[in-house]
Amino acid sequence: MTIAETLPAILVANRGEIALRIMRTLRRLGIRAIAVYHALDRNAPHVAFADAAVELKGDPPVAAYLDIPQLVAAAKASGAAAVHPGYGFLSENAAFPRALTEAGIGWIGPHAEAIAAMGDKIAAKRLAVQAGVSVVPGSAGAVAHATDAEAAAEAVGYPVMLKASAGGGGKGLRIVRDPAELAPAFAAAQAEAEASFGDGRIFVEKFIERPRHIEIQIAADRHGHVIHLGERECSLQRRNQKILEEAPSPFITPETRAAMGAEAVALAGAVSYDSLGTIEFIVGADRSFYFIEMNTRLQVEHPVTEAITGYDLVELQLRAAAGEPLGIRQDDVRFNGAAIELRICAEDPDAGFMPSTGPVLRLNMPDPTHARFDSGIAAGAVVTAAFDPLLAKLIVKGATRDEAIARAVEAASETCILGVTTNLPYLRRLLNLPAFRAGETHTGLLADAAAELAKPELSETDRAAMLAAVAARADTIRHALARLPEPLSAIGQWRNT
Amino acid sequence: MAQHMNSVVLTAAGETAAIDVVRRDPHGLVLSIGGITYLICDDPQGRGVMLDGRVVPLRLVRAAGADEVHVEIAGEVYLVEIHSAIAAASGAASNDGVIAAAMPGRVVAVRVAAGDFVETGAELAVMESMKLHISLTAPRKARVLEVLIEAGATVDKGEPLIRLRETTTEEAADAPH
Repeated sequence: MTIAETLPAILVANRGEIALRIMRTLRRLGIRAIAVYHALDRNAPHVAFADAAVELKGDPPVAAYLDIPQLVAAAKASGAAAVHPGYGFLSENAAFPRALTEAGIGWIGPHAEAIAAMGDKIAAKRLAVQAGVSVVPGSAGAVAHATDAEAAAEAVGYPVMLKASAGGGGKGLRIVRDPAELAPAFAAAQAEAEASFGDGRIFVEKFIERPRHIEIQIAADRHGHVIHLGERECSLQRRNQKILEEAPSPFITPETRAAMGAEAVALAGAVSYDSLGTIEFIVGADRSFYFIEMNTRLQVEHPVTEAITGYDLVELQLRAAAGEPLGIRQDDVRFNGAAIELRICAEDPDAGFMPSTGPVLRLNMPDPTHARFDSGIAAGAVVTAAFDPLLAKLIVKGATRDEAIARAVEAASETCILGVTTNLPYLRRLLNLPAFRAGETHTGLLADAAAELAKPELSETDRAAMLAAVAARADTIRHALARLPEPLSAIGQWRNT
Repeated sequence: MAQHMNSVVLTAAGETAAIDVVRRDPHGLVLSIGGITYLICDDPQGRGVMLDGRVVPLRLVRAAGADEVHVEIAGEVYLVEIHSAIAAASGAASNDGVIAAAMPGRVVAVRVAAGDFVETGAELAVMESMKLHISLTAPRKARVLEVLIEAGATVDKGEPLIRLRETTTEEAADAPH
């Protein structure tokens, strides 16, 4: 049986670029694609592309895409054999696949127990330890006295971080580099935690300096096979959200990749994982790595893995859900070249990355022969505050990392979005940041390099060109020109672009 | 600096500039920006504009019905506002008779008071923006209903300054001279 025979129609319970990207694979495999949409998205590209579309009600609009009963009803009514959740929304909510199963509808994702197990961060860490996965070393729970903290710090090695059990917002947090500073720092952290949370319990954890965020892509099936598809370097983040990802990581050696991959496969095996998933690690300067969490869904940045492995990850997900064996052994996986993804978001990096709204008045996409552009927007669309600010992803590949960067620069300059403010100019600056070029990324880099990444001054020539170009299009000038008895040929050179 | 019909006032990145058309040239337009003249035309290959014979790549779009042009140049994006200084200078008031500030700036002088009768073209107030003086004039024969600002006030674009009511000939004739 082909996959289209097993799963003849799939409802995509998402919107924007990811809904469209999933539907492209459905179309290629001959599977009917069913879209859902809130009225605000009625004219969105994912609705236009789908074979059928079901409107969902929701107030606020985002609630439409989070409404399990409505989605189950839409899947039933449209004859969907299964639902693909995409990322975000209900993709990691175990209640959704459970409700679908009850209604006799399939789920393009892992079994609900795996989602639930990994959704609880403390339980996930415990599972990881049991599976032999490295976690950030620290005290086994809260430490009562400074002397206990000192013993724990000695055991994990300096520098250490003192963290409030009830913590958040940096309160009760201290980084200690010198054993002599530990006792006073412990007292201060305890007092601060007591004052902030009414809970002075403090625990000790190894402090990872300039950590990198590197994740391992897992693929599994319902027959017990699990493989990894290498890593993605995701250290470039603002407000803990990634904006540029690459594969492979310029920092990872084949040995570290193999070790991280083995631990990721072990953790997936521990929860009988049977779909696509990602295991996130933080990696220290010495390439020591520690489990953070597992994402039991398709990741935003999955295209960089597709670019260097040649696999369509959505297809792997669909095949696993259809009960087909993975058919790929670890030894079959090859990594070719380097890939970079830029996340183009409706936000203003020059105003603290505040989300922005407005119309897309002009949209130029990059040359598709050199770049993949996964987009959920079209010219004329209006970006509202109702949904996630991610508008599009630009993905490029090169034989080497330097070539991939050069292609990213080129594709980013070909791309143009005007009307709504986006972070595209900022991403262009980032591609030229020396630390990025050198592969010296870490999760604090964007904050550390804020001055280098600030909007540069416009040169006098460029400023004059900009003002002149706008002036020539101003109504008053056009009217004035109409009155000037000069050569008519000149005015013919002006076009409304 | 006098404001005349062949000029436009633009604001970009917080700076306001007046651009004057010096002349039309067989190769494009000669404009004066801050006292420096430039020859500009569109790049025939569509990459941007030609400034003094050199290509400066840029892309732009003007929102329908808005006095704003979004420009991408040197990898960065700018919003350029077009101030209808000419309209203000020639005294175009909105239908409700409100004379509004065409651009952000300072009110230098107020020439009228509530109750005054004014002739078409009479100067009502003078505004200054980036050392550019703009005369706000009456679009038609009118009576000043209300003066909403004082000399020296800083105003935003679109802020109402003076309210007028169009007058009939008889009304104006009855006015004290």
